[in-house]
Amino acid sequence: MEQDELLKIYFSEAEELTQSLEQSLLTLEESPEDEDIINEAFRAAHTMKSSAAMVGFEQISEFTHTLENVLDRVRNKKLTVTKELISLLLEANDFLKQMVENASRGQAECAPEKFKQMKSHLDRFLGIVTPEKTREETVLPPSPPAQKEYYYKITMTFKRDLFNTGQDPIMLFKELEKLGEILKVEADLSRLPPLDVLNPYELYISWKLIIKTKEAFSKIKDVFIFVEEDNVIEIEDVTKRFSGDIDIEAAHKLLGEILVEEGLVSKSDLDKALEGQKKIGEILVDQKKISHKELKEVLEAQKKSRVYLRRSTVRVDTEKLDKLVNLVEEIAIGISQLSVKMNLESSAISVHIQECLEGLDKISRELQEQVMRLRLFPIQGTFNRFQRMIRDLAYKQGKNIKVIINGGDTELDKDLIEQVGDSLKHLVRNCVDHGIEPPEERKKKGKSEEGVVKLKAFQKGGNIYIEITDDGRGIDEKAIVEKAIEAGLLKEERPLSKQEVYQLIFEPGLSTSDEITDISGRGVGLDVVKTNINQLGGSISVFSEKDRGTTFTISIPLTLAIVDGMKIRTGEDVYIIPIRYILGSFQAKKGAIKTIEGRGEVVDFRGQCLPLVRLDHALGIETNRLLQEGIVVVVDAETKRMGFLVEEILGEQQIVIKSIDKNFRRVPGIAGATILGDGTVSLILDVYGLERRLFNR
Amino acid sequence: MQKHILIVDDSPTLRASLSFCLKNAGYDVTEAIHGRDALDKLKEFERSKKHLSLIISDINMPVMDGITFIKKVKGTPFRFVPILVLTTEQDIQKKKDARLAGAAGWLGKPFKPEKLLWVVKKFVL
Repeated sequence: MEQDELLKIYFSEAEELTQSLEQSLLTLEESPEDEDIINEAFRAAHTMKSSAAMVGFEQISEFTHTLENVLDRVRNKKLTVTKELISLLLEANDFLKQMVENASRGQAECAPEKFKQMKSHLDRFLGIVTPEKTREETVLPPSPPAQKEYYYKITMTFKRDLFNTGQDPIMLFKELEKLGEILKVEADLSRLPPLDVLNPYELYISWKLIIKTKEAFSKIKDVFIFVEEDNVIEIEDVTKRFSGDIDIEAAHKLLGEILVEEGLVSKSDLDKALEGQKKIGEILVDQKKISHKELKEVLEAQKKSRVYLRRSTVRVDTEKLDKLVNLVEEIAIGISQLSVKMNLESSAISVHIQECLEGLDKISRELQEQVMRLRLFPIQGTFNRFQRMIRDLAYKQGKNIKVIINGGDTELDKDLIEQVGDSLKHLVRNCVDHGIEPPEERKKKGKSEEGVVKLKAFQKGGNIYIEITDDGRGIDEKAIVEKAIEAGLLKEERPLSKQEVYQLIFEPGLSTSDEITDISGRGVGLDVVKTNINQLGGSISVFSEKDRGTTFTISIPLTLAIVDGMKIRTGEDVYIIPIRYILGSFQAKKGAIKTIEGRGEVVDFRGQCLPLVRLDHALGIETNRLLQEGIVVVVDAETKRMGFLVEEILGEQQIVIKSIDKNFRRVPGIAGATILGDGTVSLILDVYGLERRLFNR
Repeated sequence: MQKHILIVDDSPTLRASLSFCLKNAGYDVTEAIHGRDALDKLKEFERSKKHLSLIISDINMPVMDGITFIKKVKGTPFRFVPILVLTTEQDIQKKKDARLAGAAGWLGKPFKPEKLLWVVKKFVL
């Protein structure tokens, strides 16, 4: 074994240890008496110390030694966990990370002065005495039983002027009733104004309901087909939560949680009531049902099993994984080439071989899927980092913020997590910096002094959704419109829908200006966020309500490397359009294509006038043909729908995106290339990029 | 006959260093990541009737710490296999605990390869 290899092992261990230490510290801040966590933090520091010494990083070892001593004092109850202590320990951990990183680059671990300074901070904590306390336990939920019926939770928040569009929530309820049984409805009347100012033509109520049905998700979604564009309709499959009409999740929830969720008591009232309460273990000890020793043993066993649970994974070099992915792709391409060649033959043997190939194709697809799965990582790690960031930011700004994480086990492609991380960070920062108000301001508004930032991830279809919600001041629409007019993004003040206003905050001209931050409370760099997300084939949307908060929703495809594509042909060339953009296609007869003054060529699609894009022209391919008829493929681009005029649709194919950036410069409108079944190379269209290029956005 | 050594440590770095040194010196090495894992490994040894010459174990480990592990080994057919504990030089209490539990000796962390082999040779003939 080479020294290099040992170092590699060490750096990966060190990274894991600092990460685990950070998580322990954050958890410790919330439950300062939790002995498990203290022990875990201590052990991380301890292990760090000896392994650093083993590979000869003396400063790291010495520093962790001091850190270990501080944690040992916490463990022995000689030191109380305070915000200040946690902040310092987190800082120390950051310093540790920095040293490890420096070392991994072959540089000195750190400057001697810095080392002295950090160490002296820690040394201060090696001499203060404080009292002791006990800790709490939780129960893991059992896995729910399977069943045929589905349960959906539907949240409907409508535009106020919904009635003007001829829609009525009652109709939706009637439709839903036909599909199944509505188990529970909750109406949110909080926006309902007093009777004397109530406008009967406006809708103030939003609903939450739970429906039991045998219908699939898409059927339920179809009910909202006319309202989903302009309103916020959330449908969530909560089947797992239910068993025979009973919400089994309520069983695992604490009564307080349910009461708060149903809006019967406020969080602060609950916290007050809980302050006087004892932990289950203490009560049982008090009643002499168990001894202190027995309690401790049970808790110990529980802790050990949890630690074990966390450790049973295998680490694999990502490079190996990438190689594997590539090989599997090559297999898929090979099979599909062979199958194309066999199609040209027509002997009896070829039919047999064709059958075998189909089987092989199926297996290779499955293999591909499984291998792609290996690249998936839970997003929890990223969320944890944000938790830390939010905490630090809030502490600095004197704000009180609670972080709620949901769906941390949602898995994402490793590359995707990395690429989407910065954008998420930006949004989270925005929430803390501008969304959540300072405690006094919140108090004045009648809100709880503690702000809430929710991070939620879930998978729906082929997409991953990540939601970042705050309960802060919301987006000031007026300020944005004013700013937009000033910046020349809007020509005149015409009434805009909420969504249109929200789109404005993603405009570059609006967000790069620093002043907007002060006026609207949101802004810097949201255009960059949007561009990043779009480049990943995802989209971002925002929903906000004044003084109630803001939600950013990001949706991104499950994986970057494989997409379902539609092969189309225009002239000599075959292109791929990713299927997720395609709404439909139709035959455009002679005369269907019209030219409108100032808008160029358009075509009619279900009563809608779509801009028509001639692909060969758009991509700058020289041709003297001007098709008068052909097939129009309708795509849903970033801001509008448009139709691509093509000559032929060749069919659907799963394609593997190969980056062409390395060999060619980036061409707007082209996302990459792929190798087709017959071995030829075909370009994949970047629909958003094309739209930006053609319509100058 | 080939001498076989079981090393028990939760740190991959320590495991890699130990096993590198020992393998280089001609020993067979089996690695375990904590006490519980090590007990499982011992069961495999028992099943395959393999001979074990020495156990080198860390003390502070998750799931099952070194002291508990040593005590458990004393209840198995491997109770006569000498056990070395890995500890830092200063930690006298740990050394005492380990001695009481039945450890035969200790090895300070961090160690130099020569030192490791010198100590190991004292126990493995």
